[in-house]
Amino acid sequence: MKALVVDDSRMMRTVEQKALESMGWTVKQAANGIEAIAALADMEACDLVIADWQMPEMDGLALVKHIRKDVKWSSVTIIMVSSNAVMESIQEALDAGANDFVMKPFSVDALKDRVTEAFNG
Amino acid sequence: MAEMAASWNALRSFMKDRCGVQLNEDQHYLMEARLAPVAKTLKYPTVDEYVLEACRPGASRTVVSPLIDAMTTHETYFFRDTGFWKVFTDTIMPKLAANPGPIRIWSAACSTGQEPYTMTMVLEEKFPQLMDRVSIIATDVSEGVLEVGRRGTYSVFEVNRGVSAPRLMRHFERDEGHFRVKERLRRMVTWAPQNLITSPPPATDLDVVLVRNVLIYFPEQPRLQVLAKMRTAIRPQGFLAIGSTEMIGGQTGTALAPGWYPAR
Repeated sequence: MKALVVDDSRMMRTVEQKALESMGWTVKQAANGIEAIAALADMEACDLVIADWQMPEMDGLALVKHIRKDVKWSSVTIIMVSSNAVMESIQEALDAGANDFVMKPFSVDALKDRVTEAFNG
Repeated sequence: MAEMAASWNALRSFMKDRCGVQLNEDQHYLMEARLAPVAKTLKYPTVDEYVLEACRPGASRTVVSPLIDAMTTHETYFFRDTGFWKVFTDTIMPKLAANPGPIRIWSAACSTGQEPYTMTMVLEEKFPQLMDRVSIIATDVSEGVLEVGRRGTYSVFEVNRGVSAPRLMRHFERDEGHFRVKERLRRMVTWAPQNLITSPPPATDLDVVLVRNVLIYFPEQPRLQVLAKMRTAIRPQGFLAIGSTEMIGGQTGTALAPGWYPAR
């Protein structure tokens, strides 16, 4: 299973990559939405995208909308992460096509549980 | 030194007799770690003095309750073990729904309420037609955790652990920076103090009794006594649930699925 983690914080990318790798995932990284689109173009398959909302160049919400417009990625699971944990924002992310939304700060266990649920729940 | 040994021994006897919890010699650090803040709040000069007072026969509830709260709270989270809830949804509830009448569920040692509320969410999502037939009794030995459950308000950390965003939107509302379970779900749960060792079950003729990830902390003798007592509270066609990975021995019988057992 292949995943792409998108965050402008190198530390967050590392935390998310390690969490996914401990679950057996193969992980690539991107630092913003533009990089993520380029990374996806290079990937033959991607099952999961974890994207931060607030990023320079292209934010996570724009990335989600972009991914959902492409039929190639219609079935990829997208989990948005953000410290903007108001109900309206969560709904906005879901409406844009995110499958789930994890509020910052979160624990590694919480993220792993949500990934597990997205694929086995 | 003598006082320290006396308080530790008093605490170990108290926890074993009153809560069924076996504290091992190497868990001495738990007394200091968990009870120092309590002793300070209640204005005792030392942890030892507080413990000796709280474990004394006839000690007042205001002194005893905080000790039980601090020593018994165990980790819990929403939708703990997705496989377990899948069996509840696909197998257990359809069997119960096939019979008419009320469906009564006991969530024992429910801690801060994530288990009973997980159940209410599953019921509303998958069995909305049964909402009026189901009642859930949630119990714990700790008054403090029951109060959290009764209020139904959880932090970002707590909802992050297990509650997906679609579920958060559906079942929770904002409550001053936290998230509160919506009223129609809270209404399904009744909260009551119950001591697995010393109290009788809170009801009889129950359809499901859940006592997950609790009995592993008990020595064998009280563990088997609690299990036997619980079985008497379950209807013959009902179900007993323990943690999916628990090996509790005794007469649990053959599991239907990890964690799920027929009542008899």
